[in-house]
Amino acid sequence: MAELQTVDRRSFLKISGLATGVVLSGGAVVAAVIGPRPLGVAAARQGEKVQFAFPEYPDVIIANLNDLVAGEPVFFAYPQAGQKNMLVKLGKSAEEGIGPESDVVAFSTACSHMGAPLDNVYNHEYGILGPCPLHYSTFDLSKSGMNVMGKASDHLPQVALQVDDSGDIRAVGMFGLVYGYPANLFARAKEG
Amino acid sequence: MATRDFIPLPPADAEVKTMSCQYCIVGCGYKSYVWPASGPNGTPDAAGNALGADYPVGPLAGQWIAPSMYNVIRRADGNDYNVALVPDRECVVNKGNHSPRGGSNAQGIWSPYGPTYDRLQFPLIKLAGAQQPISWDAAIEIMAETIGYAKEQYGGPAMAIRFYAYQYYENTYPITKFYFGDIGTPNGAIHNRASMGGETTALSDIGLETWGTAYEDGLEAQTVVAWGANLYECQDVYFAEHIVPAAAPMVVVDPRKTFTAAYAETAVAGVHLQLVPGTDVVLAGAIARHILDRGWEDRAFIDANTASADDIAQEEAWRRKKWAATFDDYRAYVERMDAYTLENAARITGVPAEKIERATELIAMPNDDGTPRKTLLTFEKGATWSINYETIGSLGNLALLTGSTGQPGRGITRAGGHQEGYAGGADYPLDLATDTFEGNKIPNYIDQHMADGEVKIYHVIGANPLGMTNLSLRHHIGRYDLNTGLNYNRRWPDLFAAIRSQLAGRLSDDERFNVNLIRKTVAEWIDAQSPRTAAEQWRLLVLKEAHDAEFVLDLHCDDDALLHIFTSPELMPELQDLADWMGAAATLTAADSGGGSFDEVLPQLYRKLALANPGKPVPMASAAATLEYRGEADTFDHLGADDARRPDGDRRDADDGEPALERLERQRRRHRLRALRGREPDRQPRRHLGDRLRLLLRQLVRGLRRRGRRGRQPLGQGVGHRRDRGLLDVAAASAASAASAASAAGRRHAGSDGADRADGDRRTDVAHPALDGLDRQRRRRALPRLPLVDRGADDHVHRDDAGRPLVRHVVLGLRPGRGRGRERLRAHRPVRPHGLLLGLEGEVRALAGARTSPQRRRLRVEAAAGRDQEPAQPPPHAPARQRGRLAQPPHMVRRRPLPSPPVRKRASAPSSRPLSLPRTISTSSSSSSTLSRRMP
Ligand code: SF4
Ligand code: FES
Repeated sequence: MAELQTVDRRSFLKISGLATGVVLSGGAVVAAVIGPRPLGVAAARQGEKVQFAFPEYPDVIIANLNDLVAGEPVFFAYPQAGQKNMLVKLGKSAEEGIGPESDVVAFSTACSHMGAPLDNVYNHEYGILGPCPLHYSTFDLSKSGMNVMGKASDHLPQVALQVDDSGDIRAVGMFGLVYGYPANLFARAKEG
Repeated sequence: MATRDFIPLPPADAEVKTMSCQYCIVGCGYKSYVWPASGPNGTPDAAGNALGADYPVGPLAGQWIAPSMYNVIRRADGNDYNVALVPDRECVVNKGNHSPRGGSNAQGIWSPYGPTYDRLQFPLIKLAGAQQPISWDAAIEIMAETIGYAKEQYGGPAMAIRFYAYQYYENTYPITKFYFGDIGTPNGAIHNRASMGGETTALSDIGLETWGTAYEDGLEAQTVVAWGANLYECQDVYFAEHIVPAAAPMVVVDPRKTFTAAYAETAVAGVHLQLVPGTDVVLAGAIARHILDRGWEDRAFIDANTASADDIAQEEAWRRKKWAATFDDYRAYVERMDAYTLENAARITGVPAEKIERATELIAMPNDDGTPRKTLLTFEKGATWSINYETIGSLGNLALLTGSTGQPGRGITRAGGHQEGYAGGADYPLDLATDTFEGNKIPNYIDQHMADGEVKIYHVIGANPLGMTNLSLRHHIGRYDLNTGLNYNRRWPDLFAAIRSQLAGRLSDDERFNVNLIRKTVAEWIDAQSPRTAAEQWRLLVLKEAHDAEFVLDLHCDDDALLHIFTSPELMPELQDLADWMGAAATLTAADSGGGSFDEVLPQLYRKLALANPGKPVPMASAAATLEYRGEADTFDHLGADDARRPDGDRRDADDGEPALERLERQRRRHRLRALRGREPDRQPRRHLGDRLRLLLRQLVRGLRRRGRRGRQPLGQGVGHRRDRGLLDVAAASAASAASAASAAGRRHAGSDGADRADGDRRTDVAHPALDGLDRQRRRRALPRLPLVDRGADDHVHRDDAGRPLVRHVVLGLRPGRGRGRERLRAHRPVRPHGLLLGLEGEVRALAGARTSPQRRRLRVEAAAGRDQEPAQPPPHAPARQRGRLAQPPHMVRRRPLPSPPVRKRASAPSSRPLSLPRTISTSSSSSSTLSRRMP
């Protein structure tokens, strides 16, 4: 199997804490090795924000910031065909949110419990996705897809986004494993 | 959880074991896959991995390995291994489904790379002030020597044991065999009890099983009751797989609006009875009375299965002998109880009468063809940790009234908590016990025997009597809400801001009027809130109780502190009375200490209102204080005893011979004093706090007589004056007026609405109309002995002078050992795949399959009757010895569509259609063993 790049966010923060000196002084790239096998991530600090880099993932333009209406989701496939995600402007700031209000986020719409499609259950009032039509799991989109009620034992996978000056929003990576897959970059896993 | 974006797959030749989830009673099946971390890993095609899955898999496949299901362990060979603990799609319990707990099974096992890395690997012994690792052999030798010596020197009772009743039979069997059998000590208790008492004693007295139903009953029931149980979040997979698919209406009894409650109201045609905590008995009584009024009881069942006067006369078990009643007695009693009329019950429980009526219909209204409605009664901690005996007894009575036991789709059962696996190697030696209740031997309360010095060795196995279970991820949760991490005792609402506009221009020149108006407005404001979190809701519930109280005392202990109190400056120096009485080292006052803690909510309101309305009299009408009872480590019995016997607190009462605490309890019941319990880290023995609280309240009530002599003082005027007009007297004044109103009407609960509510000690005190008319001696007998500590359920019952429970839910007895009902009762034990069925014979053998169609049920009943059908393969979790004798489950089960998800409130509501996903499972091929629960 090809070696895939991933990081545990919390572990990363710990490590980045240790390596703060390096990051701050040179905007250098931190490479982390956690656990029994190499889990890598590249990250750099841009201004106040730590910028994650997912070298293996495609870099795809999915929408333009100026076209987004708060509460109206946009659907797209990422990182590969068949892996459906939802981009939404929450109207309140969110973890890993982008845009001037840090409120634009994107998540997989396959429930991380047993895979039911969550396309139709976005609730704008609370900024949640759910209850899931199958077993009612509910995910908080402003808190990195945390399961706030229900059955899932993992967060809803979140798409890492970047925005450039023209307002183009690009999907550049993924936190978490999409339901049904052994690896997000599945074709690579299959090759391996 | 980790945010990995890939999981290695187990190769086709990975080690595979079938196990049961380590967490809850539902007992979901899991498969554990173990293979070397160095690989090779499996491939995503069906032939290339141990799950036989072709990745990616679709919804409900039960073959996806979520990141939480994966971990790396190191075995004794020094090598690392990948582990995947995946819900078992072939298990009849969960069919691949899982809860957030079960889905994280792999996170709880030992891994050198995760948060579990620091688990103990060797026994430790404390030598020279520090914990030192020693070998197992040495540890065993030391234990054997010490226990042997203690037994020789002092006898069996010198050993006390507290042990778990979960995990493996292999553990509970030798523990009980050794201590109850060989050593012979009566000083033993299960992890969560004070003695070796039952958790549902009333049910066994009635003759019902604690676990009296099969999972399949959930799909056959026409109504499912969840009493003090939150099935969606606590028995996840039982609910999701065995209740939701049938979409039966639910009756949910819970003071909180849980998700299960929302489900009952919005997803199925059910009802949520949002009762005042502690009023369960009245609610159940009202339902029983309504059933009897309508003639909806199951007469055939009652006639065939409940005890006659002759049966009762022959009864030998003391509790049954004492409390059993015939159906006619029971009916007469229920009909006599005023508290059980719809209107009174609605007032007491806070549940609208229409909802009680609706619930009664759902529970007991017979079907159109005259057959009884199939009702499945489930209950859990909200009921069992309430007024245990009476509540469970009244639920058991409901079960008998409606014939809900031992029949398809009908039954009563605990919903359950952690998984249970108790196999006794020896019975509890009751003959050696020295504790008694009214001359009857009861299991020893072990803490007391330790305090008395009888116990020399306390062997604690898999339990934590000091820390109890308030730790989560190694942190004390205490007053921090688990979901939000927020401190429950901060951010209480600013009532002034909340009600200022409603009050504008309405305050008068009459102080009393103003106070009433303010309280009313606060109550209205509380009622108008729709809390969004459980913590918010609890705050509102507590505020509702507190808003019209003259006194609000919040009992705490600090990390490390002397005894002190916190209060508002306006309440000094009167509160110094209380501080002196407590022996407080310091009294701290602050108008606003910041953060919005509970004891400041009401004083702030009155203070701010007084400032904002300079011309109007607004007194400080709530005397609120936080009493800090030292530090967490100060848990010595002598401190507790001292606090409970403050030198000037008790003397007078000691003279008249009535035990002080009994008297206090009586007074507390009589007046509007309600105690609410919160929970900090539970290091204080409960007795300690309970005694203190009672005595404090008692002290307050004592002023009542003095106050009564002096006449009523307008609220707030005592502030700043003489000590004897202080705070305690003001409390007493209000209590006195309530009390005199009550006795004028000749009954205890004729006073204000609040007096009718059960107190926060969760003992229902509304049902004792005769109390006031009795003389002291009789009253003493009516309240024989206060249950300061939980002692099983044995002495939790308050009795009248004829010795019957005061809330006299006469417990109906099933005729022991007679009739089909009793046999079939056993046939409806729940399926517990980790092997509780072992050793049971007869019809039970057919029950390992949790899910049957009517056709299979018929087969099963026939099989039970000795006409075995053709041998078939057992469901995956049947014990090996039962195989070959089971009715055949169908190979294909098609799911019924699920009801749509309940939604409380939704602004932009995209309609959520119920999903109807066809799903095929096979239950025919498995070779699992019920006892292979061990982690890899
Ligand atoms: S419902 Fe209970 S047994 Fe089933 S997976 Fe969850 S914790 Fe485990
Ligand atoms: S698939 Fe979403 S909760 Fe089960």
